[in-house]
Amino acid sequence: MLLEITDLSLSFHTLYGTMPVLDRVSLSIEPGEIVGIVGESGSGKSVTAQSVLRLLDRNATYTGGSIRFKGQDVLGMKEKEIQGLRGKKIGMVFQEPMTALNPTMRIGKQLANVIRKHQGVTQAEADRLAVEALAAVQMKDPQKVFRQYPHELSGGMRQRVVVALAMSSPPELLIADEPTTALDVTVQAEVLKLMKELSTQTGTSVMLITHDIGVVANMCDRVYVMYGGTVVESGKTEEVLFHSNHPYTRALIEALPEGKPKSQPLKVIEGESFNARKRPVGCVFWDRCPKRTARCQEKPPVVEGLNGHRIACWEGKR
Amino acid sequence: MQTPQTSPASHPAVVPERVPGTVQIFWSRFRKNPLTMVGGVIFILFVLIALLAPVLTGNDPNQVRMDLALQKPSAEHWFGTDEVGRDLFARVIYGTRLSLGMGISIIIVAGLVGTILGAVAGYLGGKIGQIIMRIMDVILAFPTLILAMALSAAMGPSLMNAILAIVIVKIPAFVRLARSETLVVKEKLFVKAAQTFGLSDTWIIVRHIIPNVITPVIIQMTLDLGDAILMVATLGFLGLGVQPPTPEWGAIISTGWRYFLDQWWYPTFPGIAIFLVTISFNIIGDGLRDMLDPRSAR
Repeated sequence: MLLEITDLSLSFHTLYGTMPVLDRVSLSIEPGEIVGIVGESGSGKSVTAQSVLRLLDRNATYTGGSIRFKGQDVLGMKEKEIQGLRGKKIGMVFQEPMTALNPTMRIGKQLANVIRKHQGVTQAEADRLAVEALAAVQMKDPQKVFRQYPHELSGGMRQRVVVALAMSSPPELLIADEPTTALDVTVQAEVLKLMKELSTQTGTSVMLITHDIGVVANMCDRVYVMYGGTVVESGKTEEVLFHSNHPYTRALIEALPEGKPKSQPLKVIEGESFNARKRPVGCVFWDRCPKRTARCQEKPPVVEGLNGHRIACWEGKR
Repeated sequence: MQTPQTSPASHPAVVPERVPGTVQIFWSRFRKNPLTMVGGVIFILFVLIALLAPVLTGNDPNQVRMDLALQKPSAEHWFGTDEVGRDLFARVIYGTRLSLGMGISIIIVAGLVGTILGAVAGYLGGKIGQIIMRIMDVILAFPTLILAMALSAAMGPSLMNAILAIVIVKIPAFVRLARSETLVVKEKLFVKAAQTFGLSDTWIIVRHIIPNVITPVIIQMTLDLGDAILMVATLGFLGLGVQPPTPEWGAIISTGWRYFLDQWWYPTFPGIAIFLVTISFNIIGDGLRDMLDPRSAR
C-alpha cells in the first residue's frame, strides 16, 4: 500500500464558524496504480489531495482519521519531514497551467532548480536532465523551450512543462489536480496520454482528480466518487461505471452527453450542488436524490460488493 | 528593406524581421515621454558632474583663501566664493558626488532591506509577519523628517549616522509595498507548486516572490531618491548630517543663508542643485511608473 487514507475528517474555520469539509474519507492507492477521484465542485476532492501533502491553509484542522504514505503518518510529520516528501516522493500537477510557472524565470532554470534540489547534481548535469525532461514530455524543440519564458508557451505546452517538473525526478505518487480542465479538448487527450505513459514507464502511482467521468474511464484502474466531502462509491473503474449502485454516480454517468442522440436534451442532476453550510445529518446526497426514503435521513452504511466495490447508500443492495 | 512586389496578396508578410527586445521596447517608450527625457537628461548630467568633478574644476573645494572671501561669480569663480574664500563652484560640484552617492546608497539599502522584510512578512505571515509590521508601524507613527532628525541627533551627527537615520525612516514604505505585493503573488499557483516541489521558504522568497514584486519597488525607489537627497540636504542644513567642512549642499546653504541678502550667490547655487536633482528624480519616477505599467496604453 503506497497511500492509505483512513476515515479522514477535516474542518475549515471560516467567518461562519467551523465547517466540516471532509467526513470520514477513506482511500488507498497501490504502487503503480492510477486512481481517479471524481466529483463536482465542493465535493472535497482537491482538499483530500492537498491534505496528502499538507498544503492546506492554516484555517484547516484535521479532526480525525489518518493519512499514511508508505506506512508513515503524514499528519504527524514535522514540517521538515513533509518537505522531504514534497516533490521527491509525491509530486503534484495543478489545474491552472497559466499560473503554475514563475513568469520571471526561464523554463529551463525552473526545471534545473527542482532537479538540483532533488538529485543533488551539478548545474551542468541538471541543465542536461532538464532538457531531457522536456524531451520526455514530447516537446518538439526542448533546447528552445529550455530558454523560453512561460508566457511564450501555449497552455498545453505549459501543462506539459508542469508535468515535466513533477516527473523530472520520478516521484512514487503523482497527484494531478484536474490537470486538463483548463486545456482544449484536443490537448487534454495528449496530456492525459502523456501522464499515463510516464506513469507506466516509471512505475509512479497517479491520483487523478477530475470532474470528468469520461477521463476516469480512459485512464484509471480504480475510482472514488466523492460528494459532499464523503466517498459515496468506490471500486474498479468498470465496476463503478457499468454496475454503479449509487444514485449519484448513476446520475453523473447519465449526464454524459456521449452516445446520446442530439435531439435528446442533456440530463442534469436536479437541485443545487452541495453546500457545506447546510450539511445534512444523514446521507449527503439526500436533498437531490431521486430515490430517497425516510431512512436516508440517517447516515447510510457502507455496503461492500464484488471486487472491493463499496457504496455508501441505504439502497446499496439491489 | 525591400518588399517583394511579386508576393501574392494572399500571403502578406506578417512576420516582422526582428522582434524588439526588452531594452528596445523600454527605449521606445522612454522616447515617447518628453518630460521623462528631460528628467533623464538632468540626471545623467548630474551623474557626469559627480564622476568628472576633478576635471570640471581645478579648484580644491576645501582650499581656504581669506583674501578671496565672498567674491561675486566671475570667470575665475563661476559660483563666487564663500566667507572663507572657498570656490563655491568646486563645492557644489563635489557636493554632487556626496548627495548622489548618499541618496543612491540610502535608497538601495532601504529598498533591499525593505523588500526582503516585506516579502518575509507577507509570505510567512503569522507571528514573524506581525512583529515586522508592528515595528514598521512604530517607525511610521512619526513624521519621517522629525524621526530622521531625532535618530541622527541621538546617534551623533555624522555622514554614516545621517545615512543610517534616513535608511531607517525610508524602510517602512518599502516593507509595506513589498508585503502587499507579496500577498498577491503568494496566492499564485507557481508558489504553491514550488511548495509541492519541496523547495524551502528561503528559496521560494528569493527566487519566486522577490522577482515578482520588484517592479513596483524599483519605481518607489526612483520616486524616493529625490526625497532622500532632499533629506540629506535637510539634515546637513540643520547641522545633523554631514559636518563642515565637507562640501554638502545642505551644509553649504546652512552657513550661506545668513549672507543671502548681500551675497545672493552663496546659498542660491547649491539650492538650485538640490532643486534640479530632486525634481529630475520625481519626473523619472513618474515616467518609469507609466512605462513599466503593462496597463498603460503605449
